[in-house]
Amino acid sequence: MIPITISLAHFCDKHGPISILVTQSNEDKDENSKGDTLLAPNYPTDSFCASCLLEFPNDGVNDVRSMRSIINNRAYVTTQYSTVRYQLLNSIIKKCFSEETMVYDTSSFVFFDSMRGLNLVMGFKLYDENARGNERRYCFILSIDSSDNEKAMSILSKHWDFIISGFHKMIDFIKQSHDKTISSNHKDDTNSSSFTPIVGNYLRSNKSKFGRSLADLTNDKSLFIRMHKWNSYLLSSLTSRRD
Amino acid sequence: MLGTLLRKTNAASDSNTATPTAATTANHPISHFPGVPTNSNATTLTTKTDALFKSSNQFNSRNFAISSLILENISDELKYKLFGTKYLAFTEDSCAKYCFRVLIAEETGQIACKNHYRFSLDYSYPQQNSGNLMKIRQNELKQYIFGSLVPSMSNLQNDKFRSIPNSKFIIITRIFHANQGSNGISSKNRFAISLCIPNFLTPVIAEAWSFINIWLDQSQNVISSQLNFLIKRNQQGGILPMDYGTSCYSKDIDKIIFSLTKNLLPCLRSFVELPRLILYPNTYSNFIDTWFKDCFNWIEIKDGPKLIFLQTLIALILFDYNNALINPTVTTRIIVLSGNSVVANKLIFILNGLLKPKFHGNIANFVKVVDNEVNRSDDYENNVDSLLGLDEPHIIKPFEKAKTMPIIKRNVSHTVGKGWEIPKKTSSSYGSVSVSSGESSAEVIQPSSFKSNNNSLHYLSSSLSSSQAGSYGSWFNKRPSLLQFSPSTKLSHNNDSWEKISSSANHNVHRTSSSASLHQSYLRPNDRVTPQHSPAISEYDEYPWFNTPESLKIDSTLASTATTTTTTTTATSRQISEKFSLQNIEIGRNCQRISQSKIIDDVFDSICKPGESLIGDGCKNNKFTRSTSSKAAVLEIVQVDKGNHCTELLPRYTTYLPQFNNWFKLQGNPITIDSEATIVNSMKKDLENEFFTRSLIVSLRKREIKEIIIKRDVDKTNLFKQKVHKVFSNGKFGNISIKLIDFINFINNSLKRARTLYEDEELSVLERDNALMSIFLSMIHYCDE
Repeated sequence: MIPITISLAHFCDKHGPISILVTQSNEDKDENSKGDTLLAPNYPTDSFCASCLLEFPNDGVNDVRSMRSIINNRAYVTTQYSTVRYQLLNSIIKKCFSEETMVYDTSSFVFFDSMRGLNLVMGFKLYDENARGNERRYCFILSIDSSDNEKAMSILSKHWDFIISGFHKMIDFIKQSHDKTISSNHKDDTNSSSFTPIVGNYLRSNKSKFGRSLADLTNDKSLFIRMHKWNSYLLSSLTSRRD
Repeated sequence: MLGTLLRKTNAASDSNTATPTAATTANHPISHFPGVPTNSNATTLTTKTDALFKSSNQFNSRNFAISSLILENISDELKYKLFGTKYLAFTEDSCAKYCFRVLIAEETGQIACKNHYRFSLDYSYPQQNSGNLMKIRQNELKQYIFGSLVPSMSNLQNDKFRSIPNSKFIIITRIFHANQGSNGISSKNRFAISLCIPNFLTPVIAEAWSFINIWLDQSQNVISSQLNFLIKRNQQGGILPMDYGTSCYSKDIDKIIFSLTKNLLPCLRSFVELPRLILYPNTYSNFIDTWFKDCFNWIEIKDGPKLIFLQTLIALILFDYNNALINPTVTTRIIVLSGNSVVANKLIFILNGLLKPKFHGNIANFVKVVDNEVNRSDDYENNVDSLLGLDEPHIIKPFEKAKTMPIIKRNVSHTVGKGWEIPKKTSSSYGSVSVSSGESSAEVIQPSSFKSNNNSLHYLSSSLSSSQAGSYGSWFNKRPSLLQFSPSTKLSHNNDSWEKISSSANHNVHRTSSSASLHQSYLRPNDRVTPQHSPAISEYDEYPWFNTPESLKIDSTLASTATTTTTTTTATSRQISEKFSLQNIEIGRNCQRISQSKIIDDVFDSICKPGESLIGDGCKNNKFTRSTSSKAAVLEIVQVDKGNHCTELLPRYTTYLPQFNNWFKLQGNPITIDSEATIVNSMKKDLENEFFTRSLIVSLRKREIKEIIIKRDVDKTNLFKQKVHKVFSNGKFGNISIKLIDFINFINNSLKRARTLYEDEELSVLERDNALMSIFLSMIHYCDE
């Protein structure tokens, strides 16, 4: 089975291209390990800003760094970064945001080379007045880690509609949640300070801007869990289909 | 974004001016805006290239099959069988003009300079009407081709494709570096070959990537062959000449454009436009029921009890081709040659039922049960139409513009909803009369049930060869008088609807392609026609039902000619044809793949539960695994496999096509003088990239099954070894293995066993379905053991 990962990457104002979330499954040879090799160690979160950090629910457990689901005896693990493909995914994310001309209109962009394998990228952005340019930029990346272009393309070809629709579904959900949050905040602002003139901070210096988590932007504390579950479903479907 | 704004401005400013195409580029720079690098020297193409292109412009050929037009000529019932639905979504754009733009560019590595890139070729087609494509400025395309100004440190070859924002086009790009020359001099410059095409082709890009890769390799080789020489001259700045498409390099561009238009674009168009067959799962009882019925009908009507043509074909495909067709490394094809599209499609359905990969997913979830009602209402409407306006002309959509065929319903008083149903009314007037002449002026008179009936005795018998007269089986003996079906005069005997229709105003006989001699020997022995003629779908389309008041009449007319009548066969044929099992499936699909949107929508709600909290009290099933020395704590999330995903990409098996298409593995084609030669030539082209290829040619006219195998000698690359193996010819087997003969016998016995199940009136439908499924699976998996 060719390894496939789904990542959510972000162009952070402070840290540049960075991964927020990576979902991957254990390989065939590690079938009994329940994806233990994919689990993250207890790293310090201080170095991550709010917009970069993958937030985990902590019901009394403070050092959660991984989410795991078992589907059909295969483990699907979501972490902040990939423990087994760290450099590869960093290289892919840098290429997406820095080397290529990214477009954030949820159109698809596919690239392949023998080092990075085949990658399908779908960019989107959210309005945030506290971000540089008033926009926070993200992209979902499906990476097929294979140096065989034709085999990787064959996977993409068989599931093109499924992958594209799957990414669109999550992006639409995020955007809708974000729109609701904005309109809700706008109502609150209008009710609480109806006499205060609205002053934008577009021209403010970047120092006055600060990072905000995607969960905060969408006002959905369960967002990363939803993403993990959705990515796991997509990956399990891609790997279990017999066609 | 700047490019988008400029493009809009450019569009406005160019509205009254000629579109800047490659031909005008040399004299009229593409960009007229300050600060934007102009490429006034970007090359123009030679007239030779244009001539080459026009001669090879297959993808815009008028003969190229359009899926919507192919489907016009397939009845609804057959559409259910072949495609799983009678509604195939079409991309409107697919009917639009195919335009493209080829660019060869070079990045010089001089980041500080605004001219750090340059285009050596910018060619578009069509040059007159590709305005929207040519309005995308080179400066914008450069960003998608080379990316940002941040230089890439790796020298890796890089392929990519992406949509061009605010346009309806995508761009496919290969970035490569020049190989080190023989003198040791190399260059850091990056070179790019780019192709812009309409974005409705995006879903087929990944599937066609191997062919795109071939074109990119060819183009890269062409350019690289010059680079080693050019690097010596220009070690600084640009290496490729700005006039790359002219002067001494014009042949290079000719090769690139010719290969694109001859090979790649027709391939992409085939992938996106030709409707693909659905492969029902082996566990779908309605499919198995229909499949067996079609086999029985074929054997009874086409082959007869002695000629085991169909059994041989089924056995051979299961024995030798079922797995080979899904092997991506070897090109294997099955081609059904017939003059009659309906007959070919019936056989294609039978063969398709054996092939892999089957539809994966729970198809029962998608069955639209009410569709039978829809069909009934359609039939009712047809009937009402026929009663109200018997002589009113009914226009159907033309298959090709030049071959418009006004259809006239006439004297149709029988109501047969489907080919499998018994006529509800009795009438001696079958009105299956058609007149056709020439092309656009052709008129075809047809029965009202034209659209929904295709279980045609005539179609099924149309490709019978007169040499097979002894093998027509029970049908031939029971064949009703064709005069009964055409009482009123004119009769059509046109070819397939995409073939030229000839006039036959005074003929009273259905003349079918290969059965023409048969029919005429019965009715008009002196009137010989060429065997190329075959009935179109507009001809009489009903099964000669027996044991109905009308069939009794037919039987009586046959009494003098019929020598033997197998009553059991008649009863069975009636019984097994009473019901049409396959129903419309409510899966959204286009020609290429089954839509996943609905599945995604349903699953997303159940998995992600929008609006609900998945933490804290919202999801108590989730547990935490405590941290260890090496791993942090883990949130264990319970997730059930939804498992309701289904097959998306359909295999490249298609229906009857007017021309051979070498990218499809199963298809039907008309019989022409050079049918086999075309296939063999195509196989030889396969060997440019492979070492072995084979095709199974099923000729319905000759009742012949032939296998052609061509190998390329590994040592002597230009030497082909061709072998033709006749598996079945003139009712006899060729040189085949004992194992295959055993398997043929097994298939024959299995079909007989299945037939007895239909004759057993004590069996319930469920018991029969289970028994049929068991037989079917035993046939399918016989070779797996």
